[in-house]
Order: sequence, then structure tokens, then C-alpha cells
Amino acid sequence: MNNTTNMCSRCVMDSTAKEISFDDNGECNFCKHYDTVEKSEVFSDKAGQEKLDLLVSEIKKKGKNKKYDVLIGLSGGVDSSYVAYLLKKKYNLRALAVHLDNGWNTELAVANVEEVIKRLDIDLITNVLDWEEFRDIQSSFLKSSISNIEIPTDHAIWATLLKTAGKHGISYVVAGNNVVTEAIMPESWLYGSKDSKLIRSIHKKFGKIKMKTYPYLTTFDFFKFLILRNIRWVPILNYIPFVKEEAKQLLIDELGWRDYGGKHYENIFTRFFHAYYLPEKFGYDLRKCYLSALVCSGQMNREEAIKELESPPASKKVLNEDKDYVMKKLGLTNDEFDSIISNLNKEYTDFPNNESLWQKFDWFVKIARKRITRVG
Amino acid sequence: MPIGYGGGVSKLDHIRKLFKLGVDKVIINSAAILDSDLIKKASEIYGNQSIIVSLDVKKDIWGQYKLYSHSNNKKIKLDLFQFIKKIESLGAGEIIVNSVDNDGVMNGYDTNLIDLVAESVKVPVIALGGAGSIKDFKSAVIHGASAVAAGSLFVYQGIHRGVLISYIKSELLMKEILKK
Repeated sequence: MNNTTNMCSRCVMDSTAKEISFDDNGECNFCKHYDTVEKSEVFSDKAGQEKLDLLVSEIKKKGKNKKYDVLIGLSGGVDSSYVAYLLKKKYNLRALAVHLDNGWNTELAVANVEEVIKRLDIDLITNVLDWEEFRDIQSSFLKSSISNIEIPTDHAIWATLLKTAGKHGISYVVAGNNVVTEAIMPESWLYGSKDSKLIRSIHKKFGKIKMKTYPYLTTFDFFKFLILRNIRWVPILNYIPFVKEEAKQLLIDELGWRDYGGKHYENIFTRFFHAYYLPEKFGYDLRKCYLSALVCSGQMNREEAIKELESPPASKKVLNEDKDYVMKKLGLTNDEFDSIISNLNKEYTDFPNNESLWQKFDWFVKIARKRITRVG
Repeated sequence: MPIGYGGGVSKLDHIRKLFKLGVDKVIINSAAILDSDLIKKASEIYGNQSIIVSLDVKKDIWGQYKLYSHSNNKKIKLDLFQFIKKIESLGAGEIIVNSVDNDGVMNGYDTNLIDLVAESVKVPVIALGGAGSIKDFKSAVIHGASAVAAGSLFVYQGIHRGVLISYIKSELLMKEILKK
């Protein structure tokens, strides 16, 4: 980064995020947002424990005549693996796991999923995306020049979870999303994984084949699953003291889980997105967000975070390997790839999306958001 | 690790190309039924250690084993065991026996079929179709298979048949083999 970048005096967010503003003490709006969210969504104390216990008994009651109590998403990463462990070992809930295979899994991620389901004896459903079609969607996002090229994957995970819950009559989706490592994220960096209109409009503009099997959720689907069918999202990690390093160690000791280094690095495309695409094309380094959340939650001190940011997000060797792999797998030529990186950066607002619709129905978005952030 | 290739091999020229690419063994299925001369010529040129014939076997309604051809989706009017002996004499170095009925079901190999095939030829017989656990490997070998092959076992997990490419751990394999 250049010398004119201003960094927050408390966390490690800086002016590479265009939304940043500082108060008189040099503390940024992201820290303040963190504090607010922590207050309203994190209950890691006794009160949280009570809430969760109450919810667990409610879940058990509701699942009584069903095969499964809860549905979980399992990527093979720390957060979701830890959720699986907690549900089985601590709360004795019968979980069904869903894994989305978008074609970019690392071997390690697959091995972790296998260890988790075998050692915890959890049934697994996989949704393997149609590769020809998904490749076309991913390539479209690269060609669109917007920052969040992971939208197609993130949205497919959402869609697969809600649709599977609906199909199997499961009322609770327990997820690994959490405040203490994820609450800081500038909207301009990662907008819109819920927005299927954006996905379809970008794919329509840049894609070559028809979208036939890609799992997506329309606004009505969100309404159907979250309101009509009352499927609840349980961000369980916000209701316990979630310390990332401890969770990781427990998984290694108890489940033979293996570390892949770096948040979300269990997937090759995601690693390319974090370590190559965003830094090269946009100058964004998502580690700043994750590390800032850890700093604000007290799990890491600021000096450690700054030190970690001094080294690149991945080694040159890995970066080059990933770049070659992505080009080959998506079928892009060197020239096409170079122009993707050098094209003028775009924003999601440059393409048709659901934002104005959702602004009109903000009461619904509020209820929906509440259902995915809060227990009970 | 030696690589065997199968699928669409029907001409001597295909075989030549495959070996040039570095493949160690070629697997021939339909072409062995349609053109048994191919097996003879190929094994004369490349040696029978490199020519594997794969046969799909399906029981008919009377429970008799019949050769089955996927390329035209029908049973072949050839006596299975005579045919196996014939391709052995023509130069097939190994024979893969795939039970179409058990294939993908993951409930164990058709051990009766393995018995019958292994008794009728001297070349190694590879069992395929039905493996659901390491235990099944062992029982195929006890019934006369020289090697075992599996697909679903390495791909599917559990009752929902979750797709998860997985590998068998050598410790587990050894444990099963040593178990009395």
C-alpha cells in the first residue's frame, strides 16, 4: 500500500476501504460498528448460554418425529467443522450436513469433511454444481469486473441450505457465521451474496450458456423459506465464547482435522479471490477485516495483526500456481486474464440488482435479517 | 503407480496412441466382443501383460450369467465362460469382471461370479461391481480375485450418497486383511 493510506488507531482497517471515517481519536467507523454488533448479536456470557439451552430444547422438541433436528453447512473449514462438533458432542442434536461442491475444493477440505462426518457420525448430502454451467457463471463475474466474484458460490450455499432444509422439513439451519471473526466488512468490498437478480443479470450479459441448474433464491424464495416456512438461522458461534485458535486446536486433537492456512483457503478459487484478485485488481486485502474483528474482540493484539499484514496473503509460488490453475480451469487465455485484471473496476450498482426492491420492502429485509442473526 | 485406460478403445491405433501417452495398460470392453482379433494383435505387439479385457456380466431372468454390452444395451448371445476362455487364449493378460447387477449398489461383490470366472481362467481376475467396504475387498480375494476394483466406494458417503472423493487408509486396509 502507498504512504497516504491511513490506518485506524484501534484496529487495522485503513483507507483502502472507501467507507472508512475516523473520529478524533483516530478510531474508525468499522470498530464502532463492531462494538454495536457485538452488543446486539453476541451473547457469549451466561445469558447467551441460557438462551442457547432454551433454543436447543425447543429444537429437540420440534425435531421429535423427524429424522434430523438441524441442518448444517459443512465446508471443511474451521467454523463449520466446529459447529458440527458442538452440535453433536455438546448439544447431542441430530444434524444433517450439506456440502456444496463448486469444483474448487482443495483435497484437504474434502479430507476434513470426511473426517468430521465419519468421526461424528453425521449424514452428508452434497450438492455438486454442474461444472459447465458454473464455470460460465464464474467467468461472467470475472468479466464483469466487480469486486465480489464469490457471489455465485456464496449464493449457491445459501440456496442449497434453505432448499435442503425445506425439502427435508428441517426448521433450523445452524451456521458458522460469527461476529468475532467476521463482523467487519466494507459493503463496497463484498456486497450481495443474497442477490440472485445481480447474478442473473451479470450472467446474462457475459455468459455463453443458459442457466439451468444453478441453485438460486428469488426474493420470493427468501420470503417462502424464512417467513412462510419459518426456517430459522442459528448463528451458534455468537452464543458461545468462540475463540478461533482454541476451536482449531480442538478440531485437530479430536477430529484429526488439518489446517489449510488462511481464512477461507480451503477452496482454491476463494484463495485466488482473497490473495490474488482482490489485492491485484482492487487493492483490497480481506485479511484486514478478519484481523480487525479479531483485534476488536480481543483475540489478537493490533501489533500482531499489523505484523501478519506485512507478509503477503499467500506466497508468490502459491499465487502464480493459483492464477495458472484458475485460467486453465475456467478456460481463459493469458490476454483475457490480463484484461480482466486491467479493466476498469465496476460496482454491483452498474448491473441490475435487487437493491431498490429490497429498499421498498425493508420491513421484510429487517425481519429476514433478524431471523438469520438472532436466536429465539 | 501404473495407469490403465479404458473407454472407447476399439482400434490398434488407439492402443498405440495410449501407450505413447504413457499409459501402462489398456482396457478393452465392447471391442473385445465385436472384434476378438484386436486382442490377439494387440497382445502380440505389446505383450499380454498390457491388455486387459473388461466384461460386463448380468444375470438373465433365469439367474444365468450373460455377457452384457453397454454400447448397444443388450445381452450378448455368447456363452460367458467359453468367451472368457477364448479371450484368454487370444492373449488377454487380465480380466475385469463387472457385475452389472451389483454395480453401484455398494452391497458387496458377486462372489459366486468371481468364483466361476477365476476357476475357468489362469490369468489374473479383477473383481468389479458392488464394493461397499474394505471387507468386500477381502471376500473377493478369498473367492479367487487377484485384484479388486471399485468406484462408488471412493466417491459416495453414507445413506444420502454424498459425493466426497475419499481414499482408503492403509492402516484400515491392513487391519482388515490381518483380521481372521
